Order: sequence, then structure tokens, then C-alpha cells
Amino acid sequence: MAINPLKIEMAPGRISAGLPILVLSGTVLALSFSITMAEEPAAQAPAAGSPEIEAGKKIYQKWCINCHGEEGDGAGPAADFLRPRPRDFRTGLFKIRSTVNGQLPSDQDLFNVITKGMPGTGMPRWEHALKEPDRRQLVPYIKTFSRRFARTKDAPKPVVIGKQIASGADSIAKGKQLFHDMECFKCHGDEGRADGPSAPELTDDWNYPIRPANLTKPWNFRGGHAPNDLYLRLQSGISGTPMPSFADSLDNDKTWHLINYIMSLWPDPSGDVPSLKVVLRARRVESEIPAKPGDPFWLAQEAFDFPLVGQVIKEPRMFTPTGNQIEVKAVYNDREVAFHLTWDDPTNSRPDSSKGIFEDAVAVQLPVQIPTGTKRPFFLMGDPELAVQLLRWSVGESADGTVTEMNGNGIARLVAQPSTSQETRGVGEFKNGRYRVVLKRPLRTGNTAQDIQLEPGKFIPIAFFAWDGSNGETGAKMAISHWYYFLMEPPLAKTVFIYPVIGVAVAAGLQWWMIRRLRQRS
Amino acid sequence: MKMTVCVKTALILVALSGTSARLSWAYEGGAVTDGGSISGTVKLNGAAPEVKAPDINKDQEVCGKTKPSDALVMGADKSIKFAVVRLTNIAKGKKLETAAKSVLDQNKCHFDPHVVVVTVGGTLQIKNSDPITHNVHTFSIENDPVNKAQPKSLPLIEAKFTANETIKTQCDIHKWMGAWIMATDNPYVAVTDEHGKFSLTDVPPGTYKMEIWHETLSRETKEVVVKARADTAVAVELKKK
Repeated sequence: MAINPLKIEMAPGRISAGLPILVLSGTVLALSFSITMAEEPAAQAPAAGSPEIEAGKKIYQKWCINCHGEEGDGAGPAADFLRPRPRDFRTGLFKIRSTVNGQLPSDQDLFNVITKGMPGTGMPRWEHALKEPDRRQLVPYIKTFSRRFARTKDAPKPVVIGKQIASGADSIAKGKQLFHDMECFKCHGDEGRADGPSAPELTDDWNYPIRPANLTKPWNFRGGHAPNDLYLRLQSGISGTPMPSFADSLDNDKTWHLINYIMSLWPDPSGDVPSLKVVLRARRVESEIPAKPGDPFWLAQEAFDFPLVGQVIKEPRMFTPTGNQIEVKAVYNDREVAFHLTWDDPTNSRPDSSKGIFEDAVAVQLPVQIPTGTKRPFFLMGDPELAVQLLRWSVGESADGTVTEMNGNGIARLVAQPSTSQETRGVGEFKNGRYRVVLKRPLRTGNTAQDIQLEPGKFIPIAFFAWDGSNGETGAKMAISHWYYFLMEPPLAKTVFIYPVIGVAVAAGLQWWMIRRLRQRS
Repeated sequence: MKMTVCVKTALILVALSGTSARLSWAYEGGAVTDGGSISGTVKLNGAAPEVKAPDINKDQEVCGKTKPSDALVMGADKSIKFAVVRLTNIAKGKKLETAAKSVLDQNKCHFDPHVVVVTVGGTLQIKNSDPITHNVHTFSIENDPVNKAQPKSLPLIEAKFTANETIKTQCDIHKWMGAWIMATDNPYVAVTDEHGKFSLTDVPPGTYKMEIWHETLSRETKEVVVKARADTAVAVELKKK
């Protein structure tokens, strides 16, 4: 079906079929419009040209135009590097509203977005960069970009948030049923990781691809993740996106049940971004390390989360990668080390050149030599002087995926090791929008020139890379982390256990001796 | 100085013409005596643009496996279905019907009809006849946009429109589902049938601007003279955009 995107319908003079506006030039339109406004002052319209507007304009032109554009069309110079793209203010469609579906946002809604920013997008939090009066001043100016504000006379109708229902097993179960009945999974996926069957085709009102929210990562929710924020999104929808309003289908109780279910999907009840740890610690185990990522053994291991960002240092760059975080668990025994990697990716991508799809992949990066001083290889796949080793897993041909050991002296100088030196084994699985991969490697190898020789007790630089092949990610186009540290916790010496026992025995002996002496005296 | 006055006067005149144009949009309905009619056929002139068949890639047990595209439906002699014909500059004529309800049904993951006319002030009933969830998402600017989930537990939604607009409508869950809502503040709007035919009745005698719109083809305008108690035949030819 050839459906014109909104941006074409929005083009000047083509706003709407059959409107007499079409015969008027832009100037006439603007003038007649301002006259109409003067005759009927509208509640939602700021008076054009007033000092209030001019003051807001100054702030806007200083801070906002790089993304939102001078005309408020969301096409500033930085727009192409952002996903989601900056808002086109001309339509009056604003995602984060406290008002009913289809209506304009309140002034406070716009102020809140400026103040708090939009997590997971390029819209920063302006709370500290701009003083409150300046942030307030921006609101009436932003409203001048859309005629909808001038045309609308009544204040927008707010969504009424009813009495909250406390979470509990019963409420969560009801919410889960609603998640199914309302077919939330069609976009958000069975387990909320944005991998539903309709997700790949979604577009926003400007016909740009858009992704549903990953409900397991609430810190990226555009409008915040407080229970009331979720209530407003469900009741009002998110304007300009495929997310509809459920106001006609979910009453207050049902809305809260669904919210309680969504919150049960979060890794932490606070919904806040996992705290960043700089050191990935591997515990020593005496047993065999399970090779399968789904083995219950892995549930008991401590998880470390590392943020990922787009690789924008070297050409070709990736400004909008899919990966934004990777969870890593590590253990070792007397022979080998294992990394358990988990990251979200809505599609299980296998190479298909006809569709421009590459293979999904992940890599752990370590230096070939453990640094003795402060000097480390360049974090982006090494440098000519200091080499790195990559343990790379990709979906490959087999069910478990393909593992390749590589060495890098720079992003453009990456070479796979000969097959005789490929000693890393890996098993990966993809389910409901999530990859889990276990990589295992001997602590020490015969190829000391190319393989890192791992030693417990040393702080070893470590970094991670991920590729989403359906997002055009291949080669240098990928999600990357900076260097962190990897520490294999050394086994505790036996004396650590013996000293406390000796200490307790000596103290007990002394006490017994003193008591005995006191009794003898008396 | 004189120049400035001239410019000002010109601007005021331009502004006034704009205002009057705006005032003339307000449509006044009433009894029409001696009305004539406009009837005709819309056809394609030249080569047809290529239209992709929709990819029914989900919910096939409800939606079926294939569907023809509604974006270009051609009958014999290249007659065009789903073209919209409307008079754009009519200020007075027959009463605008607001009591009757227009219906847009979602049946087997297909909007029926593909083009629905709804009067400003009238009601559009949006139905879901399927046992699955759809979402009705309108891309409107003159009217408040709608994007509502319509699970099977919600068989009917009612929507109202406040201004003239050609509104693209889609279901995001089933991307192939598209429709057009024609909101109109005058009653002289018609959608062509499978033979490309349309007729506008009870038109007061006069000269009108008639616009012909189709989602895939060119937009055309024609001047039409209507005489009392007579039919004016109009042949419309649309081209590839």
C-alpha cells in the first residue's frame, strides 16, 4: 500500500486536500491567520511577536536549533545523526503528554520534557544547563511552530489518574493476561524486549523507522518510569508514534494491573539504570564450567553491566547502534576462563545481502600482553604498537554460532588467527529478543605471541563490542565499550582460614586459664 | 515614505482578501430548489503506476494470505475506484447531514470502505470485526489525531471531526492496512465506485471549482457550470503522479 508519509502531507501548500488554503500564498496565509487570531484570541496560542515569544526565540536559537532546526521542523544539522530524530514541532504532535489521546500537551508537559530530557534519546536534561525561567520561556516559543496551538481554544483535557493498585502476585498475573489480551506483545515482544512480530516494520508519523520500547529497560523510557508516567503513556498513547491509547479498553484497575506486570519485568524495582562497575570480577570455581548459557549455574553468578555506545571515532561510523548495554558474568577454574554475555537485540540476524542484513555478533577484547605500566592498547581494537586479542562470537551457520579468535593492531588491521590456534569455544542462543553466549578459553595457551596468558590477581583491561546485523552493523559499524578491568579473584591461601581458628583457640584458652586462676584464688 | 504607505496598503489588501477567503469557507446548508447535478467518470490517462501487493506477513489465520491493493483499483476502460470528487468553493447548498453515522470497519485486517466520507460535526463509527487487536492511527493536522488500540473487547469506537481534511489512516500492527477518511464541511463530496462513476446531486445553479483526488494519482481541478434541473457530465482523467 502506497501511503504517503506525514512529512509529504505536511509540505507547505499540501497540508490538506480541498482546503482553500491551497490557493493562497504563504504570505497571505500568515497574514490572514494573524488577523483571525487577533479577532478571536485563543487560549492555547501565544501572541506572536510579543516580548515573551522573542525572549523564548533567543534561547531557542542558542540551544535548540542544532537538532530541532530554525523552523522547528526537527531538521537541524545534527538531526541525521540522531535516532529517534528530533521532534518536528510543526505538527503539534508531542510524545510525552498528560492529556488525553489526540490533544495537545499542556505547557507543563513541554516544560517537563525540556527539564528532564528524554532518556534513551538525544534530548538532554536541561535542568542544570538552563535556569527555570529560561526553560519556561521556551514553551510559548515552541508552540508558535504549530498552528494547532493557535487553533485550539480550550485547554487540553488531562488524563485522570485513578487510585493506584499495589503490586502483588494477583495483580501481576492479571496484568500479564492483559498484556496478552491487548496484544502488547505484537510490538513489545513476549517478554517485553521489543521483538514482537510487528516491531521491524514500525514507522513514526514522518515515516522514519521507530522501535517499540524495550520494557525491561525502563531507564530508557522517554517519559520516565514512575508508575504515573506509565499510566499516562497507556491511557494517552505516545503521539506521532504507533503507540496507541488504551483509554477505551483499560479502566483504572486494569491499567494498574498492566503497569504492575510491566514493572515485574524490570531487573530492579527502582527501574534505574544498573550501576556501573569498573571491574569485572571472575570467581574461581573448582567444578567444570557449564558451556550452555541457559544452565542454572549461570543464574547464581554475579552480573556486571557495561554500557555500549556507537562507534563514531573511525569511518565508517555507527551513530545509532542497537546495543546500549551488555551484561557480563565471568568465572574460571584451574584450566579455563568463561565469559557469559547477555545483550538485547530484537532480531536474530543472519547474513542476507539482498536485504542488506549482516550477521549478529559480539566480541570480548583483551590485550595480548597484560600491561605492566599505565600504557594499554588503544581501546578500539588496538594500535600499531600494542595488539589486542578478540574473542568473537557470531550467529554463523551452526546452531551454537561461530567463534573466532582475532588479533588487532587497529580497527582496520584485524586478522583472524590460524585455525590451529583457535582455542576459544562458544555456545550462543537467541530467544525473545535476547542473546546469551558463553565463551570459554584455556587460561594459558601455546601461542604466547598472539594469545593473552591469563593470570589471577591481575587487573587486565577488557572491552566489549556488539553488532546488530539488521541495523546495518558490520565491521567498524558497531556498538562499543571503553576499557574496563577484568580481575580473576585469586584463590584465598589456606592460612586465611587457619589464622582465625588459631586466634579463637588462643583466646578461649586464655579465658579458661584466667577463670581457673580466679576460682583457685577464691 | 510613499513607498511604505503603498506597501502597507498592499499588505492590508492582501490580508483582507485572506480574511474574506476564510470567511467564505463557512458553509451554509438549507433547502435547494432548482438544483442541478454533476455526474461523470474518473479514468486513468496513460500508464498506470506500479502498486505493490500488500505483504500479509502476520496473523494469516485471521487476515488471510493475500489481498489486492486498494491503492489503485482499476475497472474496465481504466476507470478508477476510490477517487474523491468534491466542490471546494461552494458556500451554500443542501443541508450537511450530521445525524447519519459513517462506518469504517476493520474486517479480516482490511479497512472497509477504503475511503470513507464523514461530515464535520457528524460521527464516524470505527468497528473491529476481527478477533484480534488493531490500532486506528490517523495522520491529521487540521483535526486532532487519533491513535487508539482496538482489541476485540472494544468492537466500536466513535470519532468526530472538526475541519475539512483528507486523513491518512493506518493500523501499525498490520502495516498493509490503510484507509482514508474524508472529513468535509460541505455535502458535495463523492467517492467513485468500481466503474469510476460519481454523482453530486442538488447542486444550486452556479459555477464551481471541483477537485479530484486519488491517493496514488495526480490531483486535478476542474471548473464546472451547473444549470437548474440539469445534469452536467464531466469526464475526469487522472495521470501518474
